[in-house]
Amino acid sequence: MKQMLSIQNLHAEVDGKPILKGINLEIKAGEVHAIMGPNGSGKSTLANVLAGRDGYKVTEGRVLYKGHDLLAWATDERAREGIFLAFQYPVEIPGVGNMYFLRTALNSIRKQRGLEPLDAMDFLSVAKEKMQLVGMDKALGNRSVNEGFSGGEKKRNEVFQMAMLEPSLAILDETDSGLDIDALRTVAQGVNSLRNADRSFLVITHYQRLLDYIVPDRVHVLAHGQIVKSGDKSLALELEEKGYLFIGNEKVEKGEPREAK
Amino acid sequence: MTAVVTPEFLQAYGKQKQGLPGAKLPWLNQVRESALERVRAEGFPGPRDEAWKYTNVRPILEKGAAALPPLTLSLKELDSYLWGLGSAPRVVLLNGAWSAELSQLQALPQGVRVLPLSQHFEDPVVKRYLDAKQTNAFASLNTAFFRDGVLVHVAKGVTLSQPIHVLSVLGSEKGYGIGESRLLVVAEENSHSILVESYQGKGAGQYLCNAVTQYFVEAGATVDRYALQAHPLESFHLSTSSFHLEKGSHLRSVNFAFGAQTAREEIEVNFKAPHGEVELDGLYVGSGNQHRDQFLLINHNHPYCKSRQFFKGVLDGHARGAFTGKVFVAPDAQKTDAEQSNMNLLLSDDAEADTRPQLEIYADDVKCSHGATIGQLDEEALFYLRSRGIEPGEARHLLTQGFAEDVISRVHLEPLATYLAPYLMHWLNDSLRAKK
Repeated sequence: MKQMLSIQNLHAEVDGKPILKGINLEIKAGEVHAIMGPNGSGKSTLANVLAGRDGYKVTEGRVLYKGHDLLAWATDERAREGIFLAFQYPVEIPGVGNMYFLRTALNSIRKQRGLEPLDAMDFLSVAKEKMQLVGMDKALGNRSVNEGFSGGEKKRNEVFQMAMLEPSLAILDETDSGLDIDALRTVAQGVNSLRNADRSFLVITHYQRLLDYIVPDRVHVLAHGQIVKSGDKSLALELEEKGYLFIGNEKVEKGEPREAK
Repeated sequence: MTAVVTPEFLQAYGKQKQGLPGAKLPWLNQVRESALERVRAEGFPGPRDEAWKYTNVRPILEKGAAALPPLTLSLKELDSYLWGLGSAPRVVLLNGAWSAELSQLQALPQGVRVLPLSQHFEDPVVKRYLDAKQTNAFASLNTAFFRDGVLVHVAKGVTLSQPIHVLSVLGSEKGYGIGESRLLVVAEENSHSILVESYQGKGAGQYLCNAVTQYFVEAGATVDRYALQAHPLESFHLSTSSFHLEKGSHLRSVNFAFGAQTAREEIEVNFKAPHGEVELDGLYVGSGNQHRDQFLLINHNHPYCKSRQFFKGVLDGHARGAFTGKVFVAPDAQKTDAEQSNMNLLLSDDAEADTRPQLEIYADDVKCSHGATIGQLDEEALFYLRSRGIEPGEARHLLTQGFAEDVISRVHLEPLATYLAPYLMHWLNDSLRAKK
């Protein structure tokens, strides 16, 4: 299997405060990795560093994406190269039509891939199909981006965008937060339908629940900016049962790396 | 402007304005003379004049007192001045003078008259409405010296399904000059009218466009009015619009200010009876060294009237934008309902916005509110767009267009609304693209 993402000794800080303290993670094409961990462990920071958000400063280490130096690219370049971040808190953008925005995004990415831009008609017919896939109300397509959407609608919209933009690496940042069980199931179905041998997922979640529906190949526990434990999907179940403390109090507190079983 | 310069200016300007039409009509002479007298007595506004706090007219007056000579424009050239409204009835004013060749008035419905003022000074409607007291010296200057203009008269109960487009095109081939543009709209009882006024220039724009527009909206009538200002960047634009609303009448005005180096647009609303409603919306856009000044004055002189102000500004480069919304509520104007909102988007660190709500309320049972914001593009939204592969320039472009969208969506005139969204970006493109 080809290498998709290789995170090597990644250190990052926000406002001068170190958050990530030496992350190592290898994701191969087609794999689904889950990152779990208590609040404040650095999960969202990792997602934001990978997406290139301002204010997150990498102080050490490197990230290779398909063999390229990911950190050298700007946010929008990363997206055009196939990285997608599903936001924990999708942003409302008044006045910018959801479909118009998404067509602009898709055509930027198609241009990068050497494809012709899609016109409004072709775009809409694809969009219709994908909205159905994620169970999104078609009326939301005509509204401004996320404006007045419920929490669940926003998350569906993220997965809908992911389905349209067809990334190589999708990072889902707490996509399950704020979802009821039915919404969780449709969102997960949407994600599962996008799984294939060339596409990888990094699923960040606080709870094991999402992983009942999106079954990961690997599960990692993040604490104090380091991955302290890795395992297969059973690790998630174990965490759910025993809580994060079972890994070992001092390991979690001090963030010392610990070999996976 | 000091009083010393004013008489010299008026004398020099007046000399070129010999032989004005309607000179044999005593009532018109009276109107012109008293307007001129007002300018003489009060002088041009200076920096101490509250209403002109943000716009210094001295550099404009120092350009001189030349009047613009006649202007020509071919039918083919007219194409680029139509705003997508090519099939609508239209009147073209060239440096203020009615152009019969370029106007297109065959499709007017019964009961609608669109006429050149210069040939209809004896019309009872013109005689009755022309002399509304003007609120500033430039409007008075216009009244004293205008040569021509447009009368739109919509008879009782008539409904216009298409807009009437009044195009005012100014230009000078030989140096700087001043031109008057004049429009008088009388909408009789229970009529429904749609008007588009556009102000543009031919050539580089060495001129001052001094525009006066008057709307008289009779009982139960409605007027939808769109004003588009897109002069070339070297020009000046000073306009004074007055809306006079009778009982139960309704006027909606959407203003777009794009062009000119310095532009000040003044709107005065006079409620002349109860239950009138006015909605004033606007978008002003500035970049480079452009100066924008929106001055609104709403006189709630009668009870049960409603006014809404919704203005947005987009300012880039070193542009400066000012908004003043003055609401006066007379002692017996109970149940007045007035709202005001002004939002500004600054696209550069050097752009500047001033916003000034002025509420003067003498009645006790009223609902008056105001709100103002000055902000920048939302960084979170920018990141969101970029995380989807959209380049920074394009993302700024989308967000700026999104900011303007709720003004553009108030244009209930399909070809114009479609035309406006990309047109807005044309004025901002340079700086938006430059910032990657």
